Amino acid sequence: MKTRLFAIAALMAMMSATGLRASEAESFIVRGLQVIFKQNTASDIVAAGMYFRGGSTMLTRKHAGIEKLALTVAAKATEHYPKEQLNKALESMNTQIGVTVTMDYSSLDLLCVKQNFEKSWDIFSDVLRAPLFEAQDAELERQKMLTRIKQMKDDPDSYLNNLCTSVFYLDHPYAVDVNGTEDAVSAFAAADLKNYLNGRLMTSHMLLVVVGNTTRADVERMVQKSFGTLPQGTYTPTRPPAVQHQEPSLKMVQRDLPTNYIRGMFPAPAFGSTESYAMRIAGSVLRDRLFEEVRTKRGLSYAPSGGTGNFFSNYGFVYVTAVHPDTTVMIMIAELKRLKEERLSDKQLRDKVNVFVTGYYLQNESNQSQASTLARYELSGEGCKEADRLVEHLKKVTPDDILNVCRKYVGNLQFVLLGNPASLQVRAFMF
Amino acid sequence: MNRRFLYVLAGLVFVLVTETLYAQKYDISAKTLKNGLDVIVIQNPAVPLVTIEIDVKNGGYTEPPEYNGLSHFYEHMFFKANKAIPSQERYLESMRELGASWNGTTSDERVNYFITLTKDSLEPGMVFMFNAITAPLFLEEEIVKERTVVTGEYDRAESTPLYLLNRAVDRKVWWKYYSYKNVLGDRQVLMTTTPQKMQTIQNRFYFPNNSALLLAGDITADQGFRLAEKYFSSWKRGPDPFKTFKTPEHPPIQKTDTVVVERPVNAVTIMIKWQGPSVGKDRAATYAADILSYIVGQQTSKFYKSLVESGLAYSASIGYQTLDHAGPIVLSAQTSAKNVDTCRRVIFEQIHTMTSDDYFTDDQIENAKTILAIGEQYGRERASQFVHTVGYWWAVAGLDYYLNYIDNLRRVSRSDIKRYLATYVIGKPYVMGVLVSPEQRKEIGM
Repeated sequence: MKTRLFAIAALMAMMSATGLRASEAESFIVRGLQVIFKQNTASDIVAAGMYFRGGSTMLTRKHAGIEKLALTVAAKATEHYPKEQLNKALESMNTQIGVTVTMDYSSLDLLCVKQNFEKSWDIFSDVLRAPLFEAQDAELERQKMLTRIKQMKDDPDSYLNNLCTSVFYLDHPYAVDVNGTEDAVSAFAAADLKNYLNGRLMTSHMLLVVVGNTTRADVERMVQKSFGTLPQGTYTPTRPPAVQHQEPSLKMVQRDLPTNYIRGMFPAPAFGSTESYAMRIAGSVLRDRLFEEVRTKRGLSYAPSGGTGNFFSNYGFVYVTAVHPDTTVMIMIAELKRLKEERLSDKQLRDKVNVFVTGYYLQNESNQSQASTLARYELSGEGCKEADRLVEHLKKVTPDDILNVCRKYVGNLQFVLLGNPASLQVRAFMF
Repeated sequence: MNRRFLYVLAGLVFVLVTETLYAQKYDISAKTLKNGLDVIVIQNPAVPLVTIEIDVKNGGYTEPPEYNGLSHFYEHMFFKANKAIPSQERYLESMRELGASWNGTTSDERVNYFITLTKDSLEPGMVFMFNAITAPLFLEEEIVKERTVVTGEYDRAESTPLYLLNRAVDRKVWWKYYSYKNVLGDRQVLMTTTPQKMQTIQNRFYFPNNSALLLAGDITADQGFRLAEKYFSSWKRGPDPFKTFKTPEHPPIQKTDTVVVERPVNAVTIMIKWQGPSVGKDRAATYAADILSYIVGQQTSKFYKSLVESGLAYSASIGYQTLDHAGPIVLSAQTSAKNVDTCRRVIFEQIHTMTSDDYFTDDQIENAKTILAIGEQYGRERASQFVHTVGYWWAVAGLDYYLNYIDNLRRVSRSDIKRYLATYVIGKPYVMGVLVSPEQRKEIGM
């Protein structure tokens, strides 16, 4: 009996209040640099990201893509790890260093196993502190980036996404493409990239997140050694404004395809805000209903979908690929209306929250995913602790909250259709 | 002690040792129920979730032309009415009540169905999966609606230029028995699917002795085996389908050939395919194939440097898909119209020098092994995804293949890699596909 009680107590001690084996996240400052650390001993993996605040709000059209290219070229070779040596070192450990860019921030990411963390960190920090920016590397990566920009149009889903963003976020900071444009990327010289990155290497611009099988003491020591002398600089956060459209619209882009790709977007509460939890539930309900009404009951499409994004200036969406766009979109709009008119039952809401609980744990399976979620919450201004309060917030949402948030936000959809429909009733899209 | 007792004791020790060995490696335990169902439990308590997955040895490789695409269609029908749940609407509601995330996939040699839920919903989840796998109803009205859904999936694939390239190449690589390699299927067959055809597939392949139940996440081996026994032991064994239904052995590619696919694309894609090893017949070659793929994928490799670092190609890779019936070897590269001829020349120069002793270093061989081993660690982090990997290996090559994979990779030598190249690549017929825009094609003079 005593042994069993001890085992249960030990298990409870290992698991945090969230039900995870990982500890709770801590936020602290090391020589001016904000660090978020979450210990997770469930595996031998360590994931880290050095985040740069601002995203598209830091860029003009002339500089679209510069942050992505600068970080990519920086990771090619450094003062202490020239190219061949850097590649050999990473390959011998299968340590992965990559670049992520979003509308709201960018990051240099690190993934490694714990026995290689110290050595991997050395390379990772040298990429930021002492990149070489060789002209040949800059040119090679520029050509690859230009090709990817052009290729965005080859795949219908990526092209549709790009078109929708430009329509929905017209005259908005998000209209500057963080993945770059042909004009902008063609003009960057290696020196421009170097100067740009230097201008960002200030602690006020940066946030480090580490999740994995290491200790706070080790992280503090490594940060002090690598980034201890960075200047603070001045970063003024600029909140991207909410989007408002005065009327619905439809943009048609002709392409000869076996089916039509359609997406409609509407404004949604900012990521992490109080209203966003009700909208997330509404978005998930919408997706389920579209699946049932469009696919299950009528067989009109393989891929109806709906939901919300996770931007700081956020959106909701409906999506479908359909041979008969008019009929299909009319059914989807009926479901949007239903969200604004019909109260969810308590059972429906309870079931939906249960699905989110599963989703929350799925999100927490990997250290990389946990790091990215912590960063998003912190950079949004809501604070990293909110990442572990998702379920708590969702459980507080009422059916009236969902009705109210849908009535406030769902409407004036901006649609894009990529395809070549035999016939089209534009008014079917006007909601 | 008599001899019989000693034999029994030795047998028990062997079973215990075997189970213990599995349990020590990657926290995987396995046993087989009396009805032939393989039960595999993967313990990973990082989060309080369990994924329940059922893998069936079914897929493209079981499809003669008149059934082409129906393993996939069958997979869609799993998520519809069964004897316990009268309609898909009720099915979806049940999933929500369980708080489950769910999906299924069909590939060449495996179909899998999976739900992930919190561990307190595990037993209802087991009941749910049992009913779905043993007693689908194949209602005519649901099949009629699903025809357009599955062809909608087909439409999406045909909207993607790379799918069109791959299909054009595959039609020539698998020239004689294409249906057995064409997972998405034939439109006409899909549009004329009947409940009877679904029944035929069920009666041929959907038995416990042709399936595996995998439980992954916050669950112990004891719990998993007990629940499997409780909920799945009533599933009745059937005849071994592969004694009756044989996948035909594909003859070699008739002759080296080129196929051009024109679409409005912005880069030129070159895809070169060979017929590669079958894991049941040439296991050693599959390990060598994987090591070679990871050698040439390193940025320090001659392959990468001559193609990508030189600026000739934006990307270049070689891969092998492990299958029991001739897995394909694929070399892909993306380049510009102006570089396509030089790119092709350099690709073949590289291939023809791969067997020379200085093509790759000892370090690169060892790095490839490390990359694969640590890659496996990364893969095991997420139990809800890792379970699909284990299920795939169970279906295609057997669980022991996966459990001994890293150890066998470590034994791969230069001569193994040379043998693999000599047997399947160098001097062997291949099909080259080129995906290009009409304007670029004119520019190249192709």
